[in-house]
Amino acid sequence: MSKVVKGVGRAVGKVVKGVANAVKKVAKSKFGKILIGAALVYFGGAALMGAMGASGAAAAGGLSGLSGAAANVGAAWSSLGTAGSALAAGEFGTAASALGSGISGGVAQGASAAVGAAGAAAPTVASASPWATSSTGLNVLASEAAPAATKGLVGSIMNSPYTAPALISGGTQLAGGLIQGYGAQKQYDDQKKLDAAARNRYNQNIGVNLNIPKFG
Amino acid sequence: MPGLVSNAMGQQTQDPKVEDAMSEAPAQDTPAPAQMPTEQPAKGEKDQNDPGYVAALDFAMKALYENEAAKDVARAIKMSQDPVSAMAEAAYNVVEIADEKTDGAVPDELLVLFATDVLEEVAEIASAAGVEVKPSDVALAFKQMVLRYVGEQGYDTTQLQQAMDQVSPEEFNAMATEEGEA
Repeated sequence: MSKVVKGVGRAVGKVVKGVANAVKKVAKSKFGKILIGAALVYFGGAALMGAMGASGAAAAGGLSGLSGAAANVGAAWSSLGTAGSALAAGEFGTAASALGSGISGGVAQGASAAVGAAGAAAPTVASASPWATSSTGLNVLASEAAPAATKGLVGSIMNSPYTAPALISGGTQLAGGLIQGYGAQKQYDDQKKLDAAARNRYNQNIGVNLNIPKFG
Repeated sequence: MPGLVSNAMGQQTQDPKVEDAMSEAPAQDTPAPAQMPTEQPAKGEKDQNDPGYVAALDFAMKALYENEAAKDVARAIKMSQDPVSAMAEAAYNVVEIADEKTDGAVPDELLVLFATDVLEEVAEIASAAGVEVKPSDVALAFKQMVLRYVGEQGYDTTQLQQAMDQVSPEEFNAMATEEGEA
């Protein structure tokens, strides 16, 4: 089988990491724009975690329904090891900031329209009230209220109230898996030590001089 | 459906025109077309100006549109009980064959981009043939391609598929609808 048939020989991590190029492309048609969004969602849970600190990630959109699911996708990619780590370490900072241009021409504009229709959040600041409503719909101090949401797919996912719990849930699952794995490993190591000690005792018992007294 | 696209693409072809076209893989050192932008990617980065990517995409487009593989693709999708799976399989086969015929010229980092380009074309072909192609169908077809690829690399896709299944396809329809209204 050649190295390219069926993808054999391809560096999976590199292939998966290359989704950053897919989300940066300029879509030629409505299907292309949908595919950019699909690539972001189906690959992008983990990627978006990596892009959390990316500057230029736009805020708010109308895709809160995808946010939690996308975060769970990220956790699932992480469980795949190489492929997931390639995503998490991927260059999504660039991709995320490019989403404003790459997707705003299609998906994000539609998303922002949905934001308006759904009544999602510009922060509302009463002149006398110290409280304001953040872009996620939560009450925060007026001084801490986020600026008005700008368009974008990344921002819509990251600023959804469902994202943080989903990320926490995904992270907890990962941590739980690690803890379970550590516990199982420790149990195995302890059992091995016990087995080794038993073998040592057995070996030491062989050939012991019983000093049986002689009669007669 | 199984094998139909492959037949159309020339793997087991009975059409000499298709077979001839499939055997003429673009040369690896084909110079980039003059109309391509001269902007160079950063060192080590690949973009859609990469010669290998361009060659593979050109090969795929020629096979689809010049060698009438598009008709077979459209017919297969129309006759299929599951247009989503049919689109995914057709696009996946095209990507595989184009990659093979160009001896893996597509850089690893551009394989996903190549796959989205091919799937986009397959969706356009299906739509032009009268098949109702919803945005959610395209997204689901892409999901199937991703899962198939990851599965073929030996990974257990159970958890990944479950997570992806949580994404409502209707969100993509809503996305496209709002875009149309915007």
